[in-house]
Amino acid sequence: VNAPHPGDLLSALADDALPPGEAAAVRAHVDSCPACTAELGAVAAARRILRALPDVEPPFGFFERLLLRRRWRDGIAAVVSGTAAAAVMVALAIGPPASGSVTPAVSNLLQAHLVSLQSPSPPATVAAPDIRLAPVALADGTYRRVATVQHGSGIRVIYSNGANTLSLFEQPGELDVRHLPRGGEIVRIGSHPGVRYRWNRGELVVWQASKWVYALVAEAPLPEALDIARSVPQGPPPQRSLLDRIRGASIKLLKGF
Amino acid sequence: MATGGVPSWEQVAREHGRFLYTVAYRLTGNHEDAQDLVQEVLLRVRRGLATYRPGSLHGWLSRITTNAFLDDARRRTRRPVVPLGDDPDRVTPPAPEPEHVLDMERLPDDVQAALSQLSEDFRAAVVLCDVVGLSYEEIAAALDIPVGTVRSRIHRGRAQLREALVDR
Repeated sequence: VNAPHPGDLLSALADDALPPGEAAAVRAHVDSCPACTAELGAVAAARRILRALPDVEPPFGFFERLLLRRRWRDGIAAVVSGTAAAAVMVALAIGPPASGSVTPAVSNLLQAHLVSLQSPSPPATVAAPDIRLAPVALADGTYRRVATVQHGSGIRVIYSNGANTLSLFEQPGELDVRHLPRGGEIVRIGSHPGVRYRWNRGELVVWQASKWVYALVAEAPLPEALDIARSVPQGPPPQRSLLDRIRGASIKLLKGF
Repeated sequence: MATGGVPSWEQVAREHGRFLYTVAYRLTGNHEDAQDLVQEVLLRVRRGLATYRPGSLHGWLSRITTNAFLDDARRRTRRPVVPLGDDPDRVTPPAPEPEHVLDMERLPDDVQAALSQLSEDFRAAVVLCDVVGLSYEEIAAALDIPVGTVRSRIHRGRAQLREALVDR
């Protein structure tokens, strides 16, 4: 028992990860040393408990969403370039407003984003236990959520990748594009249409997904801003495509000339 | 990149997603960080950042996952984890009869909470050993540390985990 305690080798003994000679020596020591017997029993118990841990189920649809997002991205270039060629002005008359219709005040959103960039401390984070927005990961690096704040009837989530900051505004309702400012360009966000504006440091994209209206203020070029927008969880496509309605209206407008 | 047996990130997501998620969750201890970590791993797979050696796919994936986790842990300014550290005296358990502990059924959440209390380095070694099932040599290669250090981290990690569970 005067031999030094084997210490770290006890776990290796439990794992059968010692050469035969060394294992025999450690085993002989343990047999004659109550302290090491207890220690071996403890680590063996921990080992057993850890190995009995079950697999962990990812959140529903997590991988499916990642894969779907990829498929959209692959097929999206053609869609986006097609609509970009037809770059229509928004503020078109496309029927009566839906109940709960929402028109984000684009300039206010931009203002809110810029103010928070200038303020020395980040805005106070509100508790948002039912928050649906996941962190977004892009080819150029991951944006982490740094704050969640109340904004009007919705929330605003601020992301940062260390260099750039994004503001993602989310509110319930149906996007009413008629009162959006002119000069936007129609883009596709997943299976949903959106309107894109350029500002001096990046892009501002407004779109509808499921029963939510989103606006993203991104200090990033268009492809990246669109990737970010598309990484927001998507609901099913709208029953009647808003994009089709906008297209239909723009065709009518063109015919009218 | 999809040649020579290197799996695409889509394949990894489709066929090994559950394994990948389990390792990520055991390392990070919560779903939000686990999702971040999984996305980072898929990104590394997609960019071909991690050299693929034909062999155990799970070994390869868990190496990428653990390294991404440790990279992030080093980069972030974290809440300091109570450093139970390198003092060998801490390792010897306080000795309530081991049988008592052995027989107690442990809820996975309790075990995860105890696991999350370990320092990142200890946790990585323990997860690679007891969750993934890698050999000491494979862990040494994955973490780029000597086998002696692997032994030490696994042993101390398990001892601390057991202590934390006894205290609960």
